[in-house]
Amino acid sequence: MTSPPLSSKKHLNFFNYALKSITTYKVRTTAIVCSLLVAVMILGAMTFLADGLNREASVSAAFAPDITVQGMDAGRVSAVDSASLSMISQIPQVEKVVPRTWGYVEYSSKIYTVMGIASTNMPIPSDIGLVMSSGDFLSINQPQNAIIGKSIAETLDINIYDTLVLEADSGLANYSFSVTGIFETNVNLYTSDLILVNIKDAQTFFNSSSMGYTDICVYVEDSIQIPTVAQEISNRNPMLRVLTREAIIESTQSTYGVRSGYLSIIWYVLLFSVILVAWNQATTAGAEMRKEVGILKTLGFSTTDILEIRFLETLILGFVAATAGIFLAITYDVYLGAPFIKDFLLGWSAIYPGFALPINISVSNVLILYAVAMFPLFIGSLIPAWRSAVTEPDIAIRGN
Amino acid sequence: MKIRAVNLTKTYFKGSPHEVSALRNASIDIAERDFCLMTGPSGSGKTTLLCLLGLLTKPTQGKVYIDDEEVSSYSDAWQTKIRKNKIGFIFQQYNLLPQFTAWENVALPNLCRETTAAERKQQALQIMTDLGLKERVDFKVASLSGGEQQRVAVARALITDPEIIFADEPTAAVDEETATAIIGIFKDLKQKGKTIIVSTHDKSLIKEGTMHLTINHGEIQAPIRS
Repeated sequence: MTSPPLSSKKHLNFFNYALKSITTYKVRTTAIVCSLLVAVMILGAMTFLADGLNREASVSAAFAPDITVQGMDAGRVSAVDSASLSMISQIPQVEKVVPRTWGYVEYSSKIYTVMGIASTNMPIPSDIGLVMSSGDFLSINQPQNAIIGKSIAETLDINIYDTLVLEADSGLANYSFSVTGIFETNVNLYTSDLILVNIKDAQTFFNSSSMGYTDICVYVEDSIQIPTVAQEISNRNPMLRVLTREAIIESTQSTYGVRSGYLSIIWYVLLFSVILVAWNQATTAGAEMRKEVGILKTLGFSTTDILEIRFLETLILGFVAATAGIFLAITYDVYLGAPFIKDFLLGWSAIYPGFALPINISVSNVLILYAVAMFPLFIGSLIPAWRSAVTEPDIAIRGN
Repeated sequence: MKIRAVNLTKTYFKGSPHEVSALRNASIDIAERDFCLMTGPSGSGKTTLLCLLGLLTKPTQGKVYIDDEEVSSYSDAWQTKIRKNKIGFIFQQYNLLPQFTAWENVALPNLCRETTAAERKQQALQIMTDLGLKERVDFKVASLSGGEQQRVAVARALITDPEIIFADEPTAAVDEETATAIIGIFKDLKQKGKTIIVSTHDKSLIKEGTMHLTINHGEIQAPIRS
């Protein structure tokens, strides 16, 4: 075994001294680690989930067409008629116009989305990563077929070729779909609640054949022209509600952003608490620690040496507490399903089918968590440490 | 090393209702290799003078010279360097750190130097053997007797082989046997030519000194040289 390089011996000595101090001042160590651990756990759980939701929302929005057109009736969203379909088709730059009919259905006390699409011309963006894990995609020639997300299949214990019987709005007691395929996407939202059927089946199921479509998806040849086309649709029929993909993304992100903003306030309170706890511990353990500082200074330790020891102590404590907090946050989100926080961030979780929470644990998130965990601890620990380090040894030892 | 103090005054809590004038206009000359003993009643200012000469506190007024260098106005960093390289302290209340073992306490002054634990332990073991503490090397200091703790404190003060040794009532809190041993250590240090400044009430220690100062109510009476 080789000795450490000359210049590092002193720092290694200080590191060992810091470790010893941590185990010596047990009350201080426990108070700081516990408060920081709880704060990091809460922030970590919030951050991982909020980022996951934002990512999910962004990818989901990518599934949206270039422009979504809805009908408006007395200021409320309503169906859009087939005349609008023809009108939009004639606008220059419009590449494709795809009507959709969709709605919600309750099944086993959960709410699912039944979406009718024209299976032949519905583009599926690559961002969604939709792949059939088994069976086939919808065929227009086969009525009353459905493909369902893998999570639904698992939740409802439905396999391919099984029959999915839903209570329809059309007056029929039940409406049967034959499950011809099970799909997976990289967006949990779709695999968890989406039942895709042919548009005619959806119109029958929702008894909306005479009302037109729920909305119209418009695809534009050149994405630069999207605002122009959207404006043109509005100009031609001011009664339509025209939403570009950008607008949908902004709206979704601001919804989650505002919610995670509320939780940020809680985080600031927690950070402040950590500063208070660290400060309090640094000052109440102060008499003993100040005497120790006085003795060390008498023995030739400089103010810088003492600050280095306290810095290392804080670093070790912060690292241990933050690491434990991050692991607990992951456990809380991934294994416990993020109770309370999930309800707050999602809002509709009470009625939505259970699905794997979109947790996003990225390196940048983890590094930010470490940084924000250390910051209050350094403020709460190093300022009192500096104050005692600059005290005259005589005063520090006597405790005057 | 010689130490000189000129008109040293120390007032604690200056300007507050609790103001304490611990030392007033103290001037002394301690020559190199002097064994200076300070006596006086409790609260007379002996410890304050030791702290001022040992650069543990700054004077309210007056100056301290070490080898003709005016060191009392040095920055904290420079005073620390002087304490680190030239001075050893022995306190009445030992001032050991309870989280460390006896050898770790002895080796503490070398912790802020480029040393490894093995090197520090080797040095500590050597000096602790000389002071009859070989069997107590790995003991936590709290489990040692008062006499042993004071010998650990002495070993800690001497491990860097300082040129000046300050001791504040080193035999006051120990049994007679330990006091005799400590007096023996001071005799050795005197032989080695160290400059030693000790505050004490111990008569058997007083007779070993080369210089005797009496302090009363914060004022130094004329020193007696033997």
